[in-house]
Amino acid sequence: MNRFIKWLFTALQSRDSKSIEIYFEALNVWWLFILWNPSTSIAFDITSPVYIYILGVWTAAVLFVAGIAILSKKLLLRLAVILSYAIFYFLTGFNLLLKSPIAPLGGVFICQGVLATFLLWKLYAKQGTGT
Amino acid sequence: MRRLRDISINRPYLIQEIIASLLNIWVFIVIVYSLNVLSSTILNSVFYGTPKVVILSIIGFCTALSIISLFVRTEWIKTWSVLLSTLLYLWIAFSTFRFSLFSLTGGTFLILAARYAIMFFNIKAQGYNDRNH
Repeated sequence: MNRFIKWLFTALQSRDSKSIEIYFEALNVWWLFILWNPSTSIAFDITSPVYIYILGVWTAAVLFVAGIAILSKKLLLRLAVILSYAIFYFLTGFNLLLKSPIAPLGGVFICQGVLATFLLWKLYAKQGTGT
Repeated sequence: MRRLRDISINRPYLIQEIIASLLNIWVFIVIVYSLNVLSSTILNSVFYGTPKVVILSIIGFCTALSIISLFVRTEWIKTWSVLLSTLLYLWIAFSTFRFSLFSLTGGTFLILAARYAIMFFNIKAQGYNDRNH
């Protein structure tokens, strides 16, 4: 446990992409917490419980894979996870904005999509320079 | 493209600063739009009955500072910009949590605030310029 906390603090202090990946993991945990709540469909204005179920399974899967990706440092796995973040946040963001042009989370999610896209680019660029 | 790649590596916080500015601008737009279109009682109930002028001034100041900090390399401006963004997001998060603990907006802004708080402490501890590159 102590080793994990030490690792976490070091990772959060680093200037590489790891701290942002941990941030996305935290958002995933929050998503799972929200999706666990039965009133989520009302909060999201989503009528289909199947969609909520799919979203929950997807979030849990990404949470697991992203955890492995951060710990294992495998670039391809990290790129795949970040790409899925970018797609998810752009899709959800535009979906929310289509329902209401001033949905606060619409813009927030699109910003997270931009962040994930940049992170993807940065990891790729770092790989290219061999740093 | 090469320059963009160099910037992405040599200025590690740049994209986070850009995202913070975009988020602040977005929040400002949402609030201004809400003031014009929606009943002001909704906003007043979210922000504990804080006057509209105060809400707009705080968010406007944070937005302006975060935009300025993008174009300068002065450390204290960047530090204050990140700190104010952190406080702004905390304010929005806890205002939303008053209505529901399962508020997606509340949790998202709380995690955002945590990220900017970590960034603030990192800039304070290590400085803005990346000396390791």
